[in-house]
Amino acid sequence: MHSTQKIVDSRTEIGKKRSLSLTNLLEVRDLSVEFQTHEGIVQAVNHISFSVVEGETLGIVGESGSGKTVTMLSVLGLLPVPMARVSSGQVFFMGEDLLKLPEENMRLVRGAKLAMIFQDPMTSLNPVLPVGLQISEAITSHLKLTKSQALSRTRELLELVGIPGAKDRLKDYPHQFSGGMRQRVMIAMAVSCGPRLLVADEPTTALDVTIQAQIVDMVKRLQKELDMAVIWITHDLGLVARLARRVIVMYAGYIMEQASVSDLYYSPRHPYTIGLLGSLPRLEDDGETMLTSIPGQPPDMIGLPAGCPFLPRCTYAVEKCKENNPLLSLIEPEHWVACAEVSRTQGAWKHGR
Amino acid sequence: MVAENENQALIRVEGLKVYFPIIRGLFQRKVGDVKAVDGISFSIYPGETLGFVGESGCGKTTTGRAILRVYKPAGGSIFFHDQNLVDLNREQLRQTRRKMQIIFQDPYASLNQRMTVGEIVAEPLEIFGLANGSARREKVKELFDLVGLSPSFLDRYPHEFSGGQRQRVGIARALALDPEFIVCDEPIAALDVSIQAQVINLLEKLQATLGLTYLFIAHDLSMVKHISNRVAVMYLGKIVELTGRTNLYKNPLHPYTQALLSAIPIPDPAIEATRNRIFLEGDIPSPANPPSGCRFSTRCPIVQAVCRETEPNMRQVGESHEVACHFAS
Repeated sequence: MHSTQKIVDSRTEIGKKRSLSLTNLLEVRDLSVEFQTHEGIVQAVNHISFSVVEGETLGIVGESGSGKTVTMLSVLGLLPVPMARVSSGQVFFMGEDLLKLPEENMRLVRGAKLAMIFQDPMTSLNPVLPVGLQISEAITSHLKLTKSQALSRTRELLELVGIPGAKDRLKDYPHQFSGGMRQRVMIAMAVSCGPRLLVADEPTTALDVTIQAQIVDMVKRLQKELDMAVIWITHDLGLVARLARRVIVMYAGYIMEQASVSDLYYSPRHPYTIGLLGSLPRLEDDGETMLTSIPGQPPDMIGLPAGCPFLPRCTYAVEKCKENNPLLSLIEPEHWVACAEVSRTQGAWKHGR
Repeated sequence: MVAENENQALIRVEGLKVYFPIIRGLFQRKVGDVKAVDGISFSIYPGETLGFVGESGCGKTTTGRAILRVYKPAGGSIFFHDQNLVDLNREQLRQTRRKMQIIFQDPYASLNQRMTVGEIVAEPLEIFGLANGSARREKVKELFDLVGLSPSFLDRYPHEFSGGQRQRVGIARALALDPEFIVCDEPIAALDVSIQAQVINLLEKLQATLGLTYLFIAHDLSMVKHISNRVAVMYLGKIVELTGRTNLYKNPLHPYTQALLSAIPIPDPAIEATRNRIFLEGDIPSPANPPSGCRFSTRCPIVQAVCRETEPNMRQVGESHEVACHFAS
């Protein structure tokens, strides 16, 4: 596609450090983030490490408060300061530690090589500016283009994300678009400078399923055409099965399990993952069987106990889980689990391939 | 299996219409109607769960609320035990509502944060003058026990609870007057995945022990399939398909149902990789100005000329399977 090529070309314009490219596009090492609140310090993210290679899709799954969004906000340098603080770790993106980058330099990376789309497109767009202006602003702040060049690029972008009658809609305001169309505008803005990594933070949660299917399909197509990596954050295990190659499951700010999609869905080993998958109704079930829910409540993130954070809800818990928080360890190639009793969870999940 | 005899229906809805006026201008003139629900008919039988699915704006919540007479219908009738709720006066309605309750979507917004959860659950008893003093407190404790909350929580406030626990408080309140029928309006949509299953299991257990009848409204089709006996699919104020849950998922006939089913993400990568997905073009039209003829005609993959002119009626296509499409068979 014509406009796709232009976007890919523009990368050479921005990507001065591209020669430094390592095998890992993004590498997060030992990242911890804490929030200062009135009730005390919330350990939102605890010593997590993961990486993303060029062009791949990584799914990050977790419930509210599991730290999945905070992790990605800290990667993009968008944490609400001074409330939040990165207390340890490094974030290497294209060979550079983003956490050490001064804000001016970070602004050159963010939006250009590293872009993010959010859950609610209405609050992410400026309601008093036409969408065409908002997108072209994103372009001109990163690329050396004239106003008219930027506008024509904007039109191409809107066509690329499937907005009908794109050239007549440049002067429309966000409220004149439906939820699905607004999310398309956000995506157009995010990919406008040809990012190497797109972080999608539950972009379809507020949308209806038929619109969700359109958006997911469109992002997959753009990913291929623009050759970018995608991190898709969601609570929907079904969506991850459709999108990702690898999945990270988070709970209470820790990575509980990390595996390829097929390992995670067919032989999950962490009791939390097993519980999550069991909580989902299956279309092929007759509906007569009860769902196997996870007992108890989500963790209180202030003053987590010393042991495993999942302990109060875990059916596999033993005495030693109270003392030691298990480290993420490799149990099979590409399959990591943070559970002391992992040997007992083998074969616990019955839904086969 | 639930007996499907017209006379035995607990709730019978005929040609229900709910319109909301569109008011514009300086003189607040009515310039039109949002036809949120536009002529739907169905029955709910004692002890069954009828699921209502559809996307936002299709009228499923409005239907649930209209049955409880939260809204005054613009047309049609709603029979509860052969009593037409549309004809009742205020006091008759108040007495009837004891038997019909609702569980709301958002347990954060639906509980009064200035009342203790014990007071919240006791309030319906107070309003109807049932069980006073220590008897009332005992009844509330019983209700707490029933929904899996510790009676020691009675004097706490809603903000001290998690979403799942709050939803249990909402359920306890709905059960306080021993209702026969409960409208569950997306009761799990605001909850975390691991908590959703807890609440669904609780609702199923309560139905089995108390013999409740549910109208279960949701946009999550897999959960609706799990909990319902029969499912109605709504689109833009109309029911487009209504049948038993297994039949609906095995043999969907309306093109909208088919597209909706194909859009649900399935937590199984092998199935996801090989599925045929039906993509619908565009967005749902505005219910203030629905398309002529079949309302789905603007997005339908098998649309014909006749669909844009004539609106299809619900018709029987096999045993207890109704569909509103000219070409479904």
